[in-house]
Amino acid sequence: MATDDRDAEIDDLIDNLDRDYRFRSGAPTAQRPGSSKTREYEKEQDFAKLVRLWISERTCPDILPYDEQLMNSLTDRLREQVEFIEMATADPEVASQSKLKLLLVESELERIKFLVRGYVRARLHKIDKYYMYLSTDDSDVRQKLSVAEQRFVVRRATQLKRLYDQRFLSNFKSTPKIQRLDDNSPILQMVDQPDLDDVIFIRVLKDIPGEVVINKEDSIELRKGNIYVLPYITIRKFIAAGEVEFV
Amino acid sequence: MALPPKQIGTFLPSEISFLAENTKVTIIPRQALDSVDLIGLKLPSMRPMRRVEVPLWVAIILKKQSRCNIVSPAWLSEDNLKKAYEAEASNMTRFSDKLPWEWIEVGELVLESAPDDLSSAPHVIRNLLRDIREIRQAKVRAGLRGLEYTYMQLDHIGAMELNEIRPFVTMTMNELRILQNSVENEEEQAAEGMLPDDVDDGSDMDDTFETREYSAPPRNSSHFDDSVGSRLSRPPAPSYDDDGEDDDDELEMDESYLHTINR
Repeated sequence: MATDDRDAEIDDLIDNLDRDYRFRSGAPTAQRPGSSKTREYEKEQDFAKLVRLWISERTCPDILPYDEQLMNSLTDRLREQVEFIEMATADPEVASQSKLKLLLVESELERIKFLVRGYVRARLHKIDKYYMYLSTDDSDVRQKLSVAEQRFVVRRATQLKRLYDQRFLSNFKSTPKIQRLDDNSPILQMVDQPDLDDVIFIRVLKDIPGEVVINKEDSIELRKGNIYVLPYITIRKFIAAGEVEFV
Repeated sequence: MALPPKQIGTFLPSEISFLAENTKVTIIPRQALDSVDLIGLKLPSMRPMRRVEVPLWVAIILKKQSRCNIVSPAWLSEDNLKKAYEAEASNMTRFSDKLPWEWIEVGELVLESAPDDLSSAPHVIRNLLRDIREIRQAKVRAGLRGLEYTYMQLDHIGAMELNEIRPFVTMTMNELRILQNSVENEEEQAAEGMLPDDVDDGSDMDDTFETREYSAPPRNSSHFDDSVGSRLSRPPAPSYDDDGEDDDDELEMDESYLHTINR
């Protein structure tokens, strides 16, 4: 009995931690009817967020900030779910009883893994492509990457540099100017970077007052439900504010 | 490497369909099932004949095992689809708002997994969906003819329809913008008469639009080489002699693209 109480207490503590963690950004925390309802809601929110992250990262020309918090809580839950499956399948009797349940859990697990993988791969593709641009010391740029991604960028840059040096750049010792890999003169930009003028497909989530100017001459109104194709740069701030989403 | 070329900047049809499987549908369970804790949601407990809402992928699994019936979505009724067709036909410049975002995918998935749960005969629904799809495709085609470099509005387009035109529209609009920019630069320079001396250090005396030629096209065309076909991968070389708007070439691009999407 005593241990049960303590377990419940600890569970409560953990729930609270979790909640504080999530709602730090000012969401109402006053009432909290039996944590299961909020949990359910959070789960669906997290899933929706993951889907949006995947779509955004795949279609945005620039690399977007890595959502560490979400990815951590998702990988935790993935692990829990894998443990659950292992436990359930270990006991053949239980396994036969809850076959359907297992099927549902496994299917969902695969679906989530697919999204997480897709998200990471979409980022990796851009990191690979723009590694030179991303390996700058500009902290705004670097902050968008996770720790692992930052490490990847640095290693890739140094390894490639070494390879090029050894294979051919060392032959140009007399003219150090052409040994550079990051020459950024206006004629020939060697550092490939995301083109923020590239067009993207978006959906407007809420009416935005005023007009948005596109390419100096055209301006459009953004009303809820509108779907547009337009240059990323003109709409970037509304995406960051959550008023417009990638589709 | 990290991403196959066909998935760069766009989605595969199967991925769009995958997303549509998350749509909630109502089912009528045939047997009891305890609630299941999943990662992205908690499945409600089910009792026979008591309607519950679940994601479409769950409904499909249960349906395959004959453990439930899917309540076909209201918009997927013969009646509503007929109305939707009328609405589509009555205005050839806009999409009607009678269909949901994922109408093609959900329609196909329900038709395939639960043809017996539809309110009308499956072939009736299937034909109506096909008619609507065709009439909407005609609108998309007409819209592509007027493609400009600034923006395009596509209210009430479906997820699959959008994804089909995405590679072509993105590539074309990006290329048109580059053409436009170089035309503007050229005009500016013509107006100024010559390049200001303090900008360049002597070795960079080329025109600014030369810059464009070097930096921009390789980046953009590499995006779409594989998705739109080799004919389109190299856009017509920008001609700086005329005003940069070569309508014939644009139309030609439309046609060949449409061959690839209509297969």
